[in-house]
Amino acid sequence: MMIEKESIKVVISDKAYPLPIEMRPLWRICLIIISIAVVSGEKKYLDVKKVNILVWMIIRKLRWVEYENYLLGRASDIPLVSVDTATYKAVEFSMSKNFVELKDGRLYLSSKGKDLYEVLVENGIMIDEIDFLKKFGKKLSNDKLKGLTGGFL
Amino acid sequence: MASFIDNLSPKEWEVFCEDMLRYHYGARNFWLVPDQDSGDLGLEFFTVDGTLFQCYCPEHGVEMKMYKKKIQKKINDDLKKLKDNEHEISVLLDEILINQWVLLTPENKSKDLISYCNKKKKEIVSENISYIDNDNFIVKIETSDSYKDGKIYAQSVFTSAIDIPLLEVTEDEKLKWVSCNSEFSDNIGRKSDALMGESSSKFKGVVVEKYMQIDKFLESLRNDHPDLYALVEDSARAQLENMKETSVFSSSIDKEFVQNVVEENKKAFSKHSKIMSANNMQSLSFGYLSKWLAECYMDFK
Repeated sequence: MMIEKESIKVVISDKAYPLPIEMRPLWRICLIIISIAVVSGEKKYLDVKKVNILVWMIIRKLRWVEYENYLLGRASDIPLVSVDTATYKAVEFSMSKNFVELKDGRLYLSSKGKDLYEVLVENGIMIDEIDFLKKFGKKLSNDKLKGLTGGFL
Repeated sequence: MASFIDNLSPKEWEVFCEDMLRYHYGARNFWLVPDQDSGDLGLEFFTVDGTLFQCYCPEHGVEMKMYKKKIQKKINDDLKKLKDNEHEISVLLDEILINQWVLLTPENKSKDLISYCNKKKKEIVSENISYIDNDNFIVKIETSDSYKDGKIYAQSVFTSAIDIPLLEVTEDEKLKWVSCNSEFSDNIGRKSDALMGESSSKFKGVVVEKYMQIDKFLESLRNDHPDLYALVEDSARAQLENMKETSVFSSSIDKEFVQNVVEENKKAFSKHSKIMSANNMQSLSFGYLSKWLAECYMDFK
């Protein structure tokens, strides 16, 4: 039905814009925690650049095959990795909440961070992401890192 | 074939040099001299190691004699400013002692220009300028080859305009979308009628197509370029907020209203034109209008 033109008014809604899940700080903090916990081994620290790339990868489930092929050297095509400052912001949040500590370009998992990792595992959260990290996380060598970022990260 | 640098305009050359040197020197060691407030004193940039930079991109295709004359004039004019603006430059540099003045140009085509630089160096030294290190001062022409890493970086910045292919929507796909998205489709139908009256069906078809395109486009942007996605979404939210204020003054809601929204969107998104292709930019203007109509951020009562 057509409304009388003279009476029409524009109404702009105040409803909130949805924030994609990967942009939510708590989600991303957990991704940082599992990356360090799974890939770093006993030492529980990881190069901050590697954390950034691993988080980029585990967010993008649909591209895991592509990342797997690159990390295992089965494909020479370099997957696209772009700037994602949300991870850096989440690193800062993680530091201020004492989940991690930044020292000499490395992120160290604190005891609080280790506790959070245990909570995630016990509750079956991020199972697929943890599995991906277990299988391929350690394959992200410095050379592979440089290949992905062109040395600019 | 012309190289990447050959295709840069003089203004682009300046921006390219800034990106290149910022990368080469790092933020702590690099200063840009802004020119919006009473000029730049004849300086483009300076660095902590005591270098003053000027950029110059002479026009292509000029004969050698004219080329040399243009470069020499640039060097001469800008070096003159070192003495003319001695006090202001000295304040700007604080305690940095200058040991070289560099003209950054895409290429140096003549050895005569090196001799010219040497001659000008002597002239400057004889001026005894307070912030010049007379014992070590040189005047030099450099090209981007002297800053290899910075050059690669700056080139990657320039050539990385994002161009995501837009979804091509067939009539069948549109019909399928309409049947699977009844809420959004009803919203579009109702608002198209309100805006266009009896001739609304064509408009509705366009809105559906644009909605499908922007939905897919934003999904790709969010996936591949999350920072740019966040910027675009910020611009869209700001634009919507802006419309909330301006819509108070709209006397009639009609085709002209739609055109105005699209035009205003174009302006709002134009700030991303350096990092996004023209085609992608274009898709945002009508695309966001479609999104607002479908998702009820914009309604008519």
